[in-house]
Amino acid sequence: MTNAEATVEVDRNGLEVLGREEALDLLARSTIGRIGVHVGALPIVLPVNFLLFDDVIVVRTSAGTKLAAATQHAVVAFEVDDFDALAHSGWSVVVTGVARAVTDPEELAHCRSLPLTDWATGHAPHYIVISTEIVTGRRLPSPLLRGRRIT
Amino acid sequence: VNQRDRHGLEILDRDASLQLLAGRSVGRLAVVDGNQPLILPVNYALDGEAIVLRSDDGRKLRAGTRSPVCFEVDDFDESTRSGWDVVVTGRLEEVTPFDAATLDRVHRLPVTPWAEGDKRYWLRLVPGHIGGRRIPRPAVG
Repeated sequence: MTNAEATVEVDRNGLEVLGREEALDLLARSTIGRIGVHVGALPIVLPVNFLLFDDVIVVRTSAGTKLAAATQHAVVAFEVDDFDALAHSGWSVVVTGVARAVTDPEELAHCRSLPLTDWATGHAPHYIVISTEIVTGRRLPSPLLRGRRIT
Repeated sequence: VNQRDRHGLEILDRDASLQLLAGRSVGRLAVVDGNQPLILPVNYALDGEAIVLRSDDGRKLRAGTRSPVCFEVDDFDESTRSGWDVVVTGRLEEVTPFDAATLDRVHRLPVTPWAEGDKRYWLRLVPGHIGGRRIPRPAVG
């Protein structure tokens, strides 16, 4: 066993615990995430286009949406994952952070310059940024690598 | 032709959404734990219109069975910038031996968590609203 293998932390469900750097690296290579907000006691999850810039999640959505309203200085969850249905393997990264709308003209100009597209609409863009102080990630190696059969 | 929302996305009705849900096996459960939203990827199967998942006595059960939850499944294609998502809101309930018929039914569903761990609890998301959106593939040319 190499040192790298020896240091992999595994949680109670047998999932590998990803370190912050690795989790941020996976975020940086993704373009679609899911933002979880709560409106009153009701949680809502919506897929969004995003980009990681300087360890901050920049989400592009449209002005005047429920999402725009629900993310004003609210604590949100942001999730990105990739699963392989055949191999029963994959990973997920969840960020818990405070979201805020980008209103500063300079910051807005910066957001507009990012290679961040909204697949859904050509409407007036609205940018939300989410800090990444709390990042957790898990990886599920294929059962075949764990000496188990896929059932 | 499907109806579109104000962003130009096709609106998927309950039946179309359920059909898409039936074709997948991994979704994301969102619960509010304390004052924080959590998103947890889960394996699932459908029991009629209800979403069945398994859990140990962790966060899903603690936070989810006391309050409304949201469940999301999607499939996007990076190369064509198209895809769909379905969102279900409802209440999560534990299926207990007191409802033997339901327990027996859900036990026969193909809900096989990929992760290890003692997922001894069977949970059923009884849906209220089920709906989705589709981003159509751009026309060629």
